[in-house]
Amino acid sequence: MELDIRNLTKTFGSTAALHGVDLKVASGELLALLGPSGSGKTTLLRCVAGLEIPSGGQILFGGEDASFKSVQERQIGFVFQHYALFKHLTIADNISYGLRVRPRRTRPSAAAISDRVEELLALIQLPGYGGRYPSQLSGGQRQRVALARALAVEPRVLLLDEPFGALDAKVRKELRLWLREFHDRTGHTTLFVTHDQEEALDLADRVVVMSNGKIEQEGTPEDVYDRPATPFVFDFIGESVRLDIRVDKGRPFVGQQEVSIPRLPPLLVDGPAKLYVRPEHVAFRRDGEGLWATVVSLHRSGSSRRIGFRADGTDAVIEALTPADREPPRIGDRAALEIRAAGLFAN
Amino acid sequence: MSDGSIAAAVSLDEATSTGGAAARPAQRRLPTEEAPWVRRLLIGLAVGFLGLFLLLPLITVFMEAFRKGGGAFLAAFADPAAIDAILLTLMVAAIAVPANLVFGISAAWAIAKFDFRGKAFLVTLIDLPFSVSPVVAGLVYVLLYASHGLLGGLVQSAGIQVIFALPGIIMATIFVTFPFIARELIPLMEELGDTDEEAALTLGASGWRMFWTVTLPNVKWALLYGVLLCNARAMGEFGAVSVVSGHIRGYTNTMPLHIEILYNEYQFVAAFAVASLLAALALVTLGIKSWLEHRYAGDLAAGHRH
Repeated sequence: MELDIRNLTKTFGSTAALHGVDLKVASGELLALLGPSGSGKTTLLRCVAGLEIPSGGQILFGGEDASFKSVQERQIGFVFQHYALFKHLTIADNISYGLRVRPRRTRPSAAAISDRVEELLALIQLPGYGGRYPSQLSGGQRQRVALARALAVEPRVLLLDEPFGALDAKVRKELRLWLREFHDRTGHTTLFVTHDQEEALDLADRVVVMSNGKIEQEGTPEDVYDRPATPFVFDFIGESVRLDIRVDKGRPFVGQQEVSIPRLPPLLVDGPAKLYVRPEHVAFRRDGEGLWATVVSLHRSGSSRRIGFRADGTDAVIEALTPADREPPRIGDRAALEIRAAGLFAN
Repeated sequence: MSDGSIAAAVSLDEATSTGGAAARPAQRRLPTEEAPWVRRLLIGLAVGFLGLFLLLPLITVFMEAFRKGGGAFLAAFADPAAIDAILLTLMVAAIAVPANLVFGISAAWAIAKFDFRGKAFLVTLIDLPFSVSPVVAGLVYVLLYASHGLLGGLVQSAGIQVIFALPGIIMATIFVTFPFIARELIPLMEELGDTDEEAALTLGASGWRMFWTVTLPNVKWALLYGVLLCNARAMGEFGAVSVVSGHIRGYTNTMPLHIEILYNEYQFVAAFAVASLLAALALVTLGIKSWLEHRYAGDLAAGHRH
């Protein structure tokens, strides 16, 4: 089922949470809504679910306008950050809840319901857990049960709100891989909200970066990481340092030195500008051509080492990343920097 | 620890120990822990106070009731007026408690799940019966519903007698007992939030279905706890009921009022016999309440216990 969100707005009192969002989600796609808290990503998800009423715009499910449909009529599956399992019901009763609350005409028989529960328990790799209660399960298991419960009603769209947000780092990673594989097998159109860029880049077919109720960029994980479209995306995704530079006749200058950066989009307006550089795109040599700078900081983090360089004649510090086992330079050493890629934005 | 502070601790210990024996090694105490004598004093005070003001009177009730033996005790319940008082009390509780159950759930729901103007005022209003003297509440009902009262003419023309009759007693009881259930549910429902309800809705449940299968089971123990407290108070209420009932024997006398009349007529054994029944009911309520607290501590509102 494809989704089409058109010019969606939502205001809470006098503050706007969504400013005219347009988004198309292809059938079977796994799409991440990524942004910091307050960016409107959860509001967008809840509007699609029907848990929030949009102030304007349209939401189409498979070409059919669902804007005025109730939550129940939309037939979505929703997974909450804190699982929201019914703690007084067994795992089996939780999973079958959506089937058991159906009106008698459309409700499957008891035997069919229990078959469906078994099938789903097998799918989430928790066979034999039907008789337990949510409190007897770990966080990761609970979230899988929540997913099974959402899938039991055969939803047209699956919506996940920070599904791994309440889990610890290791379980998060495992469950992330599991969800990707699960999605490849079941093929539900899935929207999930996260503030964790690694999760979004790892898991999604397409990433939608949001900030302040607007979409900053949408594209494949490669697009948003390698070709950030706005300063916000550069800042938010991956690591980068921001340099205040000057553009003169289309050429970028850091202090008095001109820097040559391959494939830099031309900036037509001369004057002050912002250059975003990722540490992994900076290489340094002891001699030769490049942006001359002095080593001002060294910082070991895990398997890599971060080296800070101050460009000559400026306060700008550019960071480079090298493997930790390579002999590092010393503070005060001089080096020529080569910037292999960067983003350039007018002030 | 430096030498100086050890010395200080030892000397403090010596000063407080009664024996004044040879210097013992200093007992290390947590900074938040009181000295043993302070602890003993406080515990002694609390126990003594409770014994004197609560336990002793309670024991006296039962002792007085059985002063002239079991026969005299049972004779108190052979009096038709006593039977009528017990039945009336049960009837009042049977109407007031369900009324407050419905009211308590709706008020808690409204306060926990919605934001609206005047919410803080509503919360304060729910607490009103805790702070207003029951006698005042009774008087207000008399003023409103007596034949010359504001609404008295209205209810009288409808053929309903409120004051000195069952409706008045029930209304006064509802007034004094209405915070119990609502107060129990509000903190719990606020803490639970509404994601469980949202989950039920996304799974296709109707609002009604969601309430019965998700909301109610989530709060059932707190609800039962509130009902018990409400029931105990409904059966024992004296002040407000006394004002509106008119003490018509066999007609508007509840158990507490009946006890007072017997006592004023110097029928001490009968008075204490009925009082012991009322006290026994209270003790049973207390027992069930403690068991609930013990058994379902986690499910009861975390905000105001533990």
